[in-house]
Amino acid sequence: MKVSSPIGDLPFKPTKIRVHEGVFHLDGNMGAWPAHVQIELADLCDIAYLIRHVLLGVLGGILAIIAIALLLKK
Amino acid sequence: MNNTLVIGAGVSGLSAAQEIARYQPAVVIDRLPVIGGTHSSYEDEFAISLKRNCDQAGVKFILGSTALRWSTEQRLLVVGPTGIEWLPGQHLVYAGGYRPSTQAELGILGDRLGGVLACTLAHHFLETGIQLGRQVVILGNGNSARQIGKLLVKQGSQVTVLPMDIQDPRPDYADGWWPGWKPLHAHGKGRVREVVVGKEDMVERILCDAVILAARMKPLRNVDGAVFEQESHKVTFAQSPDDMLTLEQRSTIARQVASQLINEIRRQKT
Repeated sequence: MKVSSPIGDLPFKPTKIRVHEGVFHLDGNMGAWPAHVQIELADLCDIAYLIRHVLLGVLGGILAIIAIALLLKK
Repeated sequence: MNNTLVIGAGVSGLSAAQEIARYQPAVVIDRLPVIGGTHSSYEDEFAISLKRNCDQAGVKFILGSTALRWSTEQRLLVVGPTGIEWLPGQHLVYAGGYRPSTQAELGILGDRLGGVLACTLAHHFLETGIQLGRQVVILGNGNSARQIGKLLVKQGSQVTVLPMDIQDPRPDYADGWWPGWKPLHAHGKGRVREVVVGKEDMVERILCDAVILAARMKPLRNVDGAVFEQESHKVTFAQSPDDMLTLEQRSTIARQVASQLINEIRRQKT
């Protein structure tokens, strides 16, 4: 992963992910610096909204597969 | 205490450290947590190969830590994520990169306006996808200016170039090309609106909404005790502010500086 910032592009290498009290904790390193990302439920909602077209496409695909399977079964 | 401290993990710092490590231990310190420096990147193949050579030569790295002061007792004050420490060193090699001249250093009159940016900052903004302006004036025609110009064209900006000292060649991205003209005054209310330029006794106005400072590079000097070349104790500067140099040329110059330093240390020992 890469993070862009006013001091330049920095790498982000995840090393550990865990869930604690409903919050995702992503530990990693930005080069020599230890880094930590907290992802809360509200953040997940924001991310889901940003990729809503992809999610809708996947959901539509799943529903289509289920519908075809049901039709074939009949 | 026979080690040499090198400030800067860019191409110059890495090259100098590798050269020094052939003779005595070298430690590279950089405020960024990665190698590459301001004018290269941690993903740059050339910088990566230099880092590999340094690792093989036994160079130690302290990245993500800022050097603050070089004392006459030959110690370097370094602040990092794990705390503050004094690093002893026989000698300091300063390879802290370079920066463009400021609006004041270029003699441009006017307020400190929004939209007037150093090329180093502008480059990072552009890479992040931030649009700097629709009509952009670039001051300078070196490598830094060229990087910015290409990114601006990708964004659809109209680019006017005042090449200043580096007149040739005219770059492809320049919609406007003003060789021999000097920026005199930046006008605007809050944000830059126009730049007044002059050539001999002629004066013209260039409408713009952003100005990129990318001319007359100067070496960065932000470590107390290692600012002035004549007054700095046991400090060697390995910086090449010539903005037309390639990374390979910078590397060669830094190696030459480091090699001279090693010869000097050897001479003093004998």
